[in-house]
Amino acid sequence: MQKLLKELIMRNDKKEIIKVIFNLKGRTKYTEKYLNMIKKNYSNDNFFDILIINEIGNKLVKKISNKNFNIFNVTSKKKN
Amino acid sequence: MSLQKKKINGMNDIFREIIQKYFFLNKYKYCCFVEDDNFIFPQSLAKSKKFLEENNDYIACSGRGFIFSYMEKKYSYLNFYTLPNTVDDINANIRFQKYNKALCYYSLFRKKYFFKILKKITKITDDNMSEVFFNFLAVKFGKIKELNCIYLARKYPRPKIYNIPDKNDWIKNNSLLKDINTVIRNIDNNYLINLSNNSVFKYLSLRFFNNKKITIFSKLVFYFKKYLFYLSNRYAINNFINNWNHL
Repeated sequence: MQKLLKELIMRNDKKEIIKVIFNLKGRTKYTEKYLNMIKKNYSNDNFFDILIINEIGNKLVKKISNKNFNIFNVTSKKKN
Repeated sequence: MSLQKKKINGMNDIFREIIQKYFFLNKYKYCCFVEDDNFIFPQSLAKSKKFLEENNDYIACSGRGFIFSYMEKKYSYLNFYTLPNTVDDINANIRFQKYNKALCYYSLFRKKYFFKILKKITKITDDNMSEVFFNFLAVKFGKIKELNCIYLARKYPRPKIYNIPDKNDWIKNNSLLKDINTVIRNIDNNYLINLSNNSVFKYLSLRFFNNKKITIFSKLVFYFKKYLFYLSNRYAINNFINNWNHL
């Protein structure tokens, strides 16, 4: 509940773009590389948020700490 | 393996999951989908958003794309990657004729159209048809813009799940005919005259009967286009690949 509340607060800003990334089973390291690329080289382009949908049973993507964009990390509903 | 127990098994499952997460997306005006081996350039997203803000009659916008791959211990440029071309005619039938059949879902979409398309897609089960369906619905619903900037970097080789199925496997799928019927009813009802030339049947025939002859001339044209693209965009491509190699 607290986590959801925190995410709702984070969402209360004026970004208009959301990028949806799907994190398939066994692909977490690639998704994390993607996020690191944005953090290291494009951190000033803070006009979008990211929704990561992790396939159920998959290792959750480590959220990178960045003030410039919000990352929502959720799990897919598909059963194993 | 029953349907309820299967894992994410292709693009259609992914599209369904995005619809289920609408709660997270509802405050945004624009959205795009990207697979984990594709990189959308943030600055190009900004340019696309600006374009859509200034042009209300367009529903989606993207730019140019390229493919990179791991070769000789580092990532390098491999080829250009075709993204949807500008289709800006007010008449949907003409948009179908001019559309280059490239994948649309990487483009930055007005969210309401993105979801309108996804909701229709959940009616079909064949993964390959879901990509076709997405593309044609996008063209049906409105104008699409291709900006003159690097928008997408795509890593090869790709995970098997994203690959187009073998055509022999594809045609064995029991749902294929039902899905083709759904797609045609949703897209082509008003364009029956040009159906075979411009739309779903054309796409299918290209996939199933791709007997294009490769000549020395066509190979030369291919290499010329590949390097011309690189030369025109070398700063953005080299900068990206250099950063990717150092991660």
